[in-house]
Amino acid sequence: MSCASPLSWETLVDWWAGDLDEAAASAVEEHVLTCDVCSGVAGRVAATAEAIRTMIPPVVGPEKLAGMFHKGIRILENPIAPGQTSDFHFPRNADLAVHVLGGLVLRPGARVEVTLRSLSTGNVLGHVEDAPFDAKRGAVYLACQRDYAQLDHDLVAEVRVGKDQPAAQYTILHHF
Amino acid sequence: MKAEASDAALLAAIALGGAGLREAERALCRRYAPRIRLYGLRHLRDEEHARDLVQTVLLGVLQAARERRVREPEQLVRFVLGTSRNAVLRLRELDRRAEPSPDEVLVAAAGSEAPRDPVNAALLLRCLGSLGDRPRRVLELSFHDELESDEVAARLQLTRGNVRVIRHRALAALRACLDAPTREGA
Repeated sequence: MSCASPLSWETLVDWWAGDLDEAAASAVEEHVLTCDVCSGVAGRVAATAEAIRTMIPPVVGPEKLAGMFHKGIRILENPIAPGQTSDFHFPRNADLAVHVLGGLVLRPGARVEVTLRSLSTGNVLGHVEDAPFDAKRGAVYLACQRDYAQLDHDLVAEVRVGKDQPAAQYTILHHF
Repeated sequence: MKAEASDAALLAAIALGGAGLREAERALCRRYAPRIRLYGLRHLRDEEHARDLVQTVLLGVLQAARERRVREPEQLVRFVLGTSRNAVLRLRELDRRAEPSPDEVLVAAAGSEAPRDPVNAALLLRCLGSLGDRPRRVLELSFHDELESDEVAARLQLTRGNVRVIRHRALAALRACLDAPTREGA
């Protein structure tokens, strides 16, 4: 299996991202339809980009949460107050757990930073610079998936509203 | 290892009919289903719609091959591409399904054999985190939020060219990270 004029990774990423003009995109599509080698590479580009498109981000806004609920995803909420430690057992009958990090004063347009660390190692597991939030409820929603069983189970979420404010801390001890 | 039949041989077998018909049709469907799905995902950004596209296009291909309207491989590619383009336009407007006919069952089976690459959420989170803030943001804005390059550039105060280069490298690095455990486990 070989290709006389293989398409580069860069060209295929540009194609997938919609960055080629119509003629170039058509040429790529025609080639991918006829070529095993390039359709294989295009498949890898597509699978990687699709994983990002369809992922549930670690911090979700209320609209996204409502959208997932309407799609039939079974969501369980776990409310936590600042400074609290939550001993959390991931329920068997839920697809997604949402830790509701509450007790925050959040005005529309506020800049919210969320940092997720392992309690035991201190390693940063995730950082969101401009996190979505629910201003009405005064909460940030942390989406927790069953696959996260592979990550450290002891988690500290730090939520900072505005640069100069101290971070609110929430500790979650997961049991999957 | 048995060599795979060429498109020309498969089209000839389908046009001829007889005992080899179903096997030739199945082989043609297996070959083109993943490629059409890819086209569908690219333009429709939806797995279900991409599978619908695979069915629609392959049904048209089989019909045209049986009626000998498509005899040459070059004709086949043009036919697949043209039918895919038209079907994408229709699928964008319509969101309905018909009762499956026997042919639809056949091509649906081929479509379900198209490669899937489910990614573990924890691994994805870890790999995205390993990229660094800027490359991660470029990927998230490009592929999760589906912003165009100019919009990504404006958000991150980059040029469009920077966005493209960062995206090329970051997606390759992410792919390598996602594949790493597989290689280690092999």
